[in-house]
Amino acid sequence: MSQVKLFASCNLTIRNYRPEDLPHILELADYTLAQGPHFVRDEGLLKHLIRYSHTREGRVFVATAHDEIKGLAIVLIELGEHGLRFGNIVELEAIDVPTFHALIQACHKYSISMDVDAIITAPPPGITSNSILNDWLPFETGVMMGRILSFPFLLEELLRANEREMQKHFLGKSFVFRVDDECVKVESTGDKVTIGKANAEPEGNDIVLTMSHQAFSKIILCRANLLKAWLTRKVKIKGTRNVFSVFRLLGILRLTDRVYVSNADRL
Amino acid sequence: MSRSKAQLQATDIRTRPYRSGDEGQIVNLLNTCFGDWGTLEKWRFLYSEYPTFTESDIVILEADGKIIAHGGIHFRNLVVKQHALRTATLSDAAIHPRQRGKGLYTKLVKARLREANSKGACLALTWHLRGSNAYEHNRKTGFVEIRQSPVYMKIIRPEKVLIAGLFDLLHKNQRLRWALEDIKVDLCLRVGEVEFGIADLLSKNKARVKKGKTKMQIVFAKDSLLIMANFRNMSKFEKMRNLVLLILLRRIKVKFGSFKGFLSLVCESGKIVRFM
Repeated sequence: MSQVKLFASCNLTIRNYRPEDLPHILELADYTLAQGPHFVRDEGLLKHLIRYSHTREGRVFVATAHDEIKGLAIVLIELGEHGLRFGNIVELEAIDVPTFHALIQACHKYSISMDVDAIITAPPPGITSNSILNDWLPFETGVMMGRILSFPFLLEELLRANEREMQKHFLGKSFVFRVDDECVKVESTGDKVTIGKANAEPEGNDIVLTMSHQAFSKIILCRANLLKAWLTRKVKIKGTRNVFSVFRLLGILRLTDRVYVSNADRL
Repeated sequence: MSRSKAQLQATDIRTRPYRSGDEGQIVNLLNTCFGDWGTLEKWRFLYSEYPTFTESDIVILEADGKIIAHGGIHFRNLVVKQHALRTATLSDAAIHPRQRGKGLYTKLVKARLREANSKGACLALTWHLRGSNAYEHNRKTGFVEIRQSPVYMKIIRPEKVLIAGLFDLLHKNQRLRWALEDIKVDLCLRVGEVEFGIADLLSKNKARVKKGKTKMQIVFAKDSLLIMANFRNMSKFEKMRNLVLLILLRRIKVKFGSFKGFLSLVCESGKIVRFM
């Protein structure tokens, strides 16, 4: 496909992917996806998707301006139920709205040329796409569900992810999480947050949070209201009268933002 | 068959990881379970050629040397505030139709969760249609819904999208399929200029369609697809509410060939609604 200038004012050009684009695309992915929870994009996965696109009548589009990569779209032509042919934009990364618009137009044009019946896309996070996708239908492909496999391990990972906020708000405090039969002690000291096994009986200034595994899952995955959970005794708090400081801790740990899931993640 | 007898039979079933050469049987099983699931090439792309793949990422249940169930796991990192959480996505759980009702799905989920746990994943993820058996099962066994980014669809040929959606719905809902097969009305759907019979979707062998039935036509306005596109992902209550709403707003029109046809459909509508 020849290089087509779609947005003259932005000097935006949509062209086919070249192997030397890959390092820049990885940088772009890190930048555009950083705003919320997302699945990691690494070299292996992108190479895998690009390789597969060649076997599925697919196309990889790259948006550039002033020799800088501004966006990427991978579209696959797939066969669905009862012979339905659809263009699946499995990966779409764009630095801004004009780039997103240009990539959507390129994928749309290509899909129409491939005689598809429908086109599916998951817009990248942070792009307000209402004006561009106003003739597209919001479509639910399936409900994302999660189950916590290891409560101490997940808690440790979430605390590591929020270490700075922990030190800012809970310096010198210690919490004991009792989830079903497991006990974990969290201490925020001067330079780091330490996590370890807790004794059966709480010590001195420990703030003890007791809840079931189900309640912990719902709180962390943002499916339960903290105040409601505390009032209905699904979460029991001992060792402090200021329950709102405990709510703040749980609020820091929970996944409040939507998880960005591209169509490649859903395949 | 009593539950205990069924469970007794399930004890002869062996759980094992994937072995090279299983692909053919696995793809046949997936196509039997999901209709047009796809090709060997698709399975290889999703599993054996996936960058993080190991043989234990595929859990297989085998009886008498034949693969009767398949379940996959993808290990991926979920980035939360620049910190990677190791997750395991459970995908493509398929049980052979003749082996269902023996608790094999539970066995398959447990085996995959064990595997995910042993490889250090702290979160297991799945995607299921709301209201499906797998969704209900997982909800009861500790899975919680997670908010995710939206997906958008641009429909180019509404009639083909509707036919494909209906085909999928009938393939996954055997009882609704039987209820529709039994009705004494020749049900036709129309979107724009395209008209097709439900009988065409129910059976590839059109000769099986009974003749002399009263015709009933359901005409969909193109904008009704806004709601119909998500129909299979709705709860029974939402499905009913939206259908009634679309009929009242005249976005769906129902035309009967005769009064007899109307009466017979009213008599049998209870069964269809029950299984919807």
